[in-house]
Amino acid sequence: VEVINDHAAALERVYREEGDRLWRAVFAYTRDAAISDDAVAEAFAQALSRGDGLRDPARWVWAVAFRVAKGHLSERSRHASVTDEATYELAEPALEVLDALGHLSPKQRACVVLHHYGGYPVKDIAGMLGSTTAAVKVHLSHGRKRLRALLEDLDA
Amino acid sequence: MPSHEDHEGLDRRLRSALDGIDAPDVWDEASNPARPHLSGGRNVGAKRIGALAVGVVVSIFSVVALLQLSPMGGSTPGATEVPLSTSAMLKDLPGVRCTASAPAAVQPGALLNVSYTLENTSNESVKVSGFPPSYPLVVQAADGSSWNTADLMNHSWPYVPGESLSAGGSRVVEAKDLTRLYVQFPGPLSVTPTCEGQQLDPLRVEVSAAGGAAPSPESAMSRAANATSGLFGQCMPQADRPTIGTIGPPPGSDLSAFVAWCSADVQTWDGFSVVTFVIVAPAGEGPSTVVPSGLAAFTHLPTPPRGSNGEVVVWRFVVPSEGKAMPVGSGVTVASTSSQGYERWFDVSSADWRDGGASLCGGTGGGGGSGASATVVFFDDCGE
Repeated sequence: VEVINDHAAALERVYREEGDRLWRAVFAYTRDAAISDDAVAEAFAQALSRGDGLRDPARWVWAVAFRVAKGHLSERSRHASVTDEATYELAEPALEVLDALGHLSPKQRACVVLHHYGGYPVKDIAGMLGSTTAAVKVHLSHGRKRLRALLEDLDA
Repeated sequence: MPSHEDHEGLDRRLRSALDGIDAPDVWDEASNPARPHLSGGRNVGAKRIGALAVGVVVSIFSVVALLQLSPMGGSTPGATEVPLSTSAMLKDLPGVRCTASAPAAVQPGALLNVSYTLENTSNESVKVSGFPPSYPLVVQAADGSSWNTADLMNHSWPYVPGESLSAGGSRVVEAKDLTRLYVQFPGPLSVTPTCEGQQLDPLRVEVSAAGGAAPSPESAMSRAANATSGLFGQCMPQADRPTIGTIGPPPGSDLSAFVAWCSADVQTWDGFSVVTFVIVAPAGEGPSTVVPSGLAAFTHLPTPPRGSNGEVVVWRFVVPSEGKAMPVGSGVTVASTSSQGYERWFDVSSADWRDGGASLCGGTGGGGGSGASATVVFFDDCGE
């Protein structure tokens, strides 16, 4: 029991350090608060259920959260015929960046968010997304270029 | 070409913008063992209206070409919700409702944990079978492949007496008591459960590998072989390149090693690999032995030629990016020449070799299971 509690306490520390940033990253990727809630909660729930066998829990939960979110996005696009005019309150700078990110492909968006916001190197991102470093580099390069152009247009 | 400073500028821009978004605290939800999953019917629509930050009120989905939005459990329940459970009244058992439940996400190598709850809503008692072949699962994987546990059930079964469900009573049939299916395919999965012989609507289950890239084929094979208690020590194939070697008896045995043809097939998916080892004896039969794709089951395997001493062994592992290789299926078919001697069967697991008993030589046969162990047969006492 002690080990389990230690493990849970360690993961809660990871959550306190990474949780908000992870949630924002998943939100920037999905633009859906409910999916972000579920992806982050699911990632930590799975980490808790795995005991203390995770070498790098922070990276692990980022990877799982993005995978869960990706699955939900696939499902969402499959059922995209019904629209939902949900309304959020967002600060202007966040809205601008989210709008710009919205013009990238999902893969480009995931790579840009994980690299430029999450701070993960290309190799880690490849592992997280089940891709190759070469593919991540391409998505990152194209996504970055497009994002810069979009943000420059907004700034002009 | 953008400079390093440009990249840093992008970092700063993203951080300053995104860090302004209020993130909700979901720790309590994460640490709640009974937490509902998004795909479990939670009303996501209600949660969508969230106060994320102070500022401008904008209908974001009208201005963003980001991602089309679906209700996923919003205002049109049933039409777009992704179920965690599926339920139906059973036609052959009037008054009995069956509900199949599955987790929202499973990890590669884990048991696909679909359980069934049978509820008798009638005023009379009803007999339900709980007979495993009445509960096959059909899985459609993301790569288009289809997996049916009925393939594992095409053999004789011991008699199962069934159980009487009293009026208003219920019974749970758990996955561990049925033919077990371990996740060895890319997700998301469409899982169609069958309850007492009646197919239910499919469930959608995510496959979430635990971070990290899938191992290379060489690494996956090596790690899988390390989980075989030395079975491939003298017969280790390369990826897609079979070899001829020897399969030795367990340590301390007086049995003889036999010459075999050993091959391995490696498939790489999102964050995990699947390694399927095949052993064929006599080795000369190896090149012409075709092991069909699908579940590693003895019911799928070709049988060695009658009148010879031979076997075909298949053993499959899921190898994650980190951690141990997990056995997910195995099977063996054998043929031996008639004699008064006995075939010697051994169960080889990741931990050790166990004596699996003896069977009179002669004829053909097979066996297999969940894959936790593979069966290897020695024919020292059978005739030539």
